[in-house]
Amino acid sequence: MSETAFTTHQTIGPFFHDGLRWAFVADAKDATITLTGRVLDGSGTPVSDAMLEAWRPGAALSDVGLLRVATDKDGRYSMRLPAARSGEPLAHICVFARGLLNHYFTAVFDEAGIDGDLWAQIPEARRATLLATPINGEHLQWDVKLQGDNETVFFDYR
Amino acid sequence: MKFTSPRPGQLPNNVHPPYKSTLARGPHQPRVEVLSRAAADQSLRLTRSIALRDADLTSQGQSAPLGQAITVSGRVVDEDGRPIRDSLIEVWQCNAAGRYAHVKDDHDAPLDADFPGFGKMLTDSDGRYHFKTIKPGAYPWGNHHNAWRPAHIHFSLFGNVYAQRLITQMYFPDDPLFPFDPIFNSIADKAARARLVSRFSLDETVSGVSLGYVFDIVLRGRSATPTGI
Repeated sequence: MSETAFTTHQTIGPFFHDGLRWAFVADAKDATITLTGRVLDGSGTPVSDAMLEAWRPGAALSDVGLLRVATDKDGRYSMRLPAARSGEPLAHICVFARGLLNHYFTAVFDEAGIDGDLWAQIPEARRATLLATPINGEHLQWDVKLQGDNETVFFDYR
Repeated sequence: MKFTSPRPGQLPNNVHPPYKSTLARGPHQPRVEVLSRAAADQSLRLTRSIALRDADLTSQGQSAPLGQAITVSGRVVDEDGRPIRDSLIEVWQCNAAGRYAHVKDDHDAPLDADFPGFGKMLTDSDGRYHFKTIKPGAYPWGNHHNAWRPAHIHFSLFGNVYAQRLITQMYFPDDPLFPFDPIFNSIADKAARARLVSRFSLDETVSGVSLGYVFDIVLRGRSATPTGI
């Protein structure tokens, strides 16, 4: 097989909503956990035109296979997820927005997921950026900080 | 599958100052390389059906949209050249006048009620896809004085494993706006940039109906097993 150079990235831009709306799903089947938060830029300004996708290996979270939510005017998102399996993230997340020339893979964890294989690969000093904070009961909060202090860890899968 | 690190310049820089919105949004830290067997080997499971009509962006209104009818087709493969089969592609674009049917697009160009400007389809067993649309117009944006985006179609691909997810834009050959577009030029590698430009194909042109453009796509990822064994 010949090796071929891959097709590179470009921004999702500001006008994706209508084209991608058919797959907007915020509530997973069998969800027990509510995850809310904001997407923030380097100055702490909410990103009102971002999109997050959430995926769980082996779980059909919806009939499009994932959750997909857009942020609102205050940069807020909300989704409902099943409880994490021990040692695994609550969800693998992909972040998209105008002004992001690439899409960024990351993951969100709760207490059940830490000490797993993926968690162990995150530099210790930055792990807290991937840990959702309990608000009450099964409501967790997790902000995505695109840049600057406490910048969310983004992945390159290998 | 396995994923090797991109060479410098193959991906856009996170912060590309000529594209002003990247200044506050682009991450400063390099990506952290992680191995996730699940992300490298498993795909999302799409169970919602895709209608044939979704691949014809010219048939979503009461009558045909204004503009130059075109088809866009191509083959989606991985870095080994293996076809990406039965995989979801989403596309969206502005109309022939350069206006998106989006509530926040304030460009003073006419909307076309017959052109919502989005579609979706699955690749076939050989990785091929095909859709019908109209050629999008160029449009101005506020990034700098006299900034115009070259005509483009947005692509969203899922690949056959999660880590292959791709968001990109397809351009048209010989666009005079290429040298001035900071989004296109955020990719330092000239050859990588050139791979985002479709090619005109007389073979794909339908006589009396539509011009044909071909856009082949290579998703990241190689077989985890050495080839030839």
